[in-house]
Amino acid sequence: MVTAPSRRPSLPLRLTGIGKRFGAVVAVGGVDLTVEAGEFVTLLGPSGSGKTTLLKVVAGFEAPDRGTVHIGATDVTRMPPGRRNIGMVFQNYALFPHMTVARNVAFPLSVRHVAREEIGRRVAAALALVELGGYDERLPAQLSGGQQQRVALSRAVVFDPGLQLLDEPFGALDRRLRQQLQEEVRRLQRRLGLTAVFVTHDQEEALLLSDRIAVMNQGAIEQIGPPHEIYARPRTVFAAGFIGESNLWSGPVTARDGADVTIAADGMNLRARAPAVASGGSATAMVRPERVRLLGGAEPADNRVSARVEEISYLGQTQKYLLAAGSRRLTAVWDLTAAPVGSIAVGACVTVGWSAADVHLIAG
Amino acid sequence: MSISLPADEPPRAGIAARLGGGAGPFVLGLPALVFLLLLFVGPVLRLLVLSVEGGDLAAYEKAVTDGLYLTVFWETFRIAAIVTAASIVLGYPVAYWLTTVSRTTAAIGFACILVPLMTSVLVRTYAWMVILGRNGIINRALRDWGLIDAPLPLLHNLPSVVIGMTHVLLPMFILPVYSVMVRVDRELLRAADGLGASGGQIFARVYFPLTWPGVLAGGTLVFIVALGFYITPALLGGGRIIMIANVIENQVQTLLDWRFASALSMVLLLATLAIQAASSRVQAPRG
Repeated sequence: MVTAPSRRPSLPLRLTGIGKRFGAVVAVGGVDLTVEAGEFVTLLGPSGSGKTTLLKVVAGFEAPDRGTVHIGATDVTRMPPGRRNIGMVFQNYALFPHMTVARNVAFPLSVRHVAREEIGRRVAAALALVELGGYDERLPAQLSGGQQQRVALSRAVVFDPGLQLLDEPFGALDRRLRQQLQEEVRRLQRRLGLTAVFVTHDQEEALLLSDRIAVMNQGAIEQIGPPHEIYARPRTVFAAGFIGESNLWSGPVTARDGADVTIAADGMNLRARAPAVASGGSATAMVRPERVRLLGGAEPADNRVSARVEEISYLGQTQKYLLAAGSRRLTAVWDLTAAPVGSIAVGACVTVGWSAADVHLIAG
Repeated sequence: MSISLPADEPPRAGIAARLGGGAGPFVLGLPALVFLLLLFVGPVLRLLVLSVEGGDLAAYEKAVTDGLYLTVFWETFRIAAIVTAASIVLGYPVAYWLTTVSRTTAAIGFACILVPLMTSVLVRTYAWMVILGRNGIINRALRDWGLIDAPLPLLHNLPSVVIGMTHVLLPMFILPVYSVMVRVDRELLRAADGLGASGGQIFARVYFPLTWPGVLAGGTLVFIVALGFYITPALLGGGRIIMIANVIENQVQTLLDWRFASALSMVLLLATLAIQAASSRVQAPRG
């Protein structure tokens, strides 16, 4: 239905040693990153982590102090933004308010002096892609926020860019619309085989959309990998804390017993399956809330804790329990078959546990 | 005269309600309304009555058919148009520059624009006479440097009138244009840049269309005010450049023909209103 076969191919992106400082502040400190052709990579991090600066360097709106940017085989480090052939989607859509939807989408083509008939054809196809056929003559102000962002999306793909950049494109939308558009972006990106770099501070969004996530903190990539890997095996305490909820305890590794080690953390002895971690060093143990199980009286478990229920939050399919064991706080998430609503009250004492295999160890 | 600038819709209803419902805003506007009725609408109506004194439209007939007055009207519109064009050419870059500099520099820039605006037109016009006159600064300097033997006729011609009027009116163009320019979202320019537009294309297709309402507002303001200029053409034109206001003054002061002066005034007023109406219908250029 769409011009997918005739598209120029998407290109890989390669960043080498990108550094950028603003005065005394290091915004990006020596980042290497390769995005394969057709891959969707998310730069995830809090504000000030350097993700937006890095995106601007790729787009050409900021010149890096050092390092190079390659799109395909071309070194674009010193190339002006317009020559890089990048489709950019902005948080505030950046639609031209004085142009109709059709003219907005036609803009990248008409500045390239594409023939009029071809512009018409490609604009119609690009608008059909985001299901906005028939909206050609509307002005942006006459569209909802979601529709405006779809126009921006179609404007960013209509000229077959080698690379698509998305700068927190859903930040201004409400939750429901955001979910719809997330699916739309993912569908479009897969269908057109776009190489995409997406910037967000929303970890859920990152987990949902990405082929790989680059977790950024203080101007550096802390970890890069597929979402499930980032979630299950974060390499730093920052990554563990930033993505999903987690219970974290740190302390020295005191004993080894086959594949298992014991960590004396926060006054309790935690058993973890970690063949590679040496005894004697210190480590941070992470247990995801859904790995914490509610234990019956005699049920065996590698780790057992008695705790008092402090707070219960109802999340629909699951409930989140904030537990206190002495001075330690612990979060558990149980679905309604494990703990039906009302079966556990605030103030109740429960025994919880988790297996050694569910503990992820972060060295240091 | 009302110049409409695009503005965000103010929360009228809320403020009106707090000030005591529908009558509140009206009461607030009342002093200004009375002032305008007494000092503007009243005299205009009086002029209207004067112009048809004797029960016929003979004065109007003379105003719109007599070649002499048609020439003056034409000259008046031509000068106003030249001054407007000069204000746009000179003022647009200045307004843009003001949006790009730091707050301090912008404040200094505005002072430079506003101080002349607050100086009397008469003073500024005499200043131009001092600069452009036979023994003025320019002629003196050129003669001292041996570049010319006889003084250049810099005064009492069209260029001197245009220079003087543009000087007076330039701030009235810069301010509305600036107010529109500062509200242009920089991200749009960045988007255009990123989508492959050249500098010229960004200006022609995005920036200029977005600032067009300001150009239109400032240009209309300058044009309309220029139509009624009196002191500057009188002094810098030296009787050789005659605009309609000079003719009206002449009719009143010298010829004591109040009826004809009133008719000329009404024609000028109608022309002004027509321009205002036309300018509010002009569409922004589409990228």
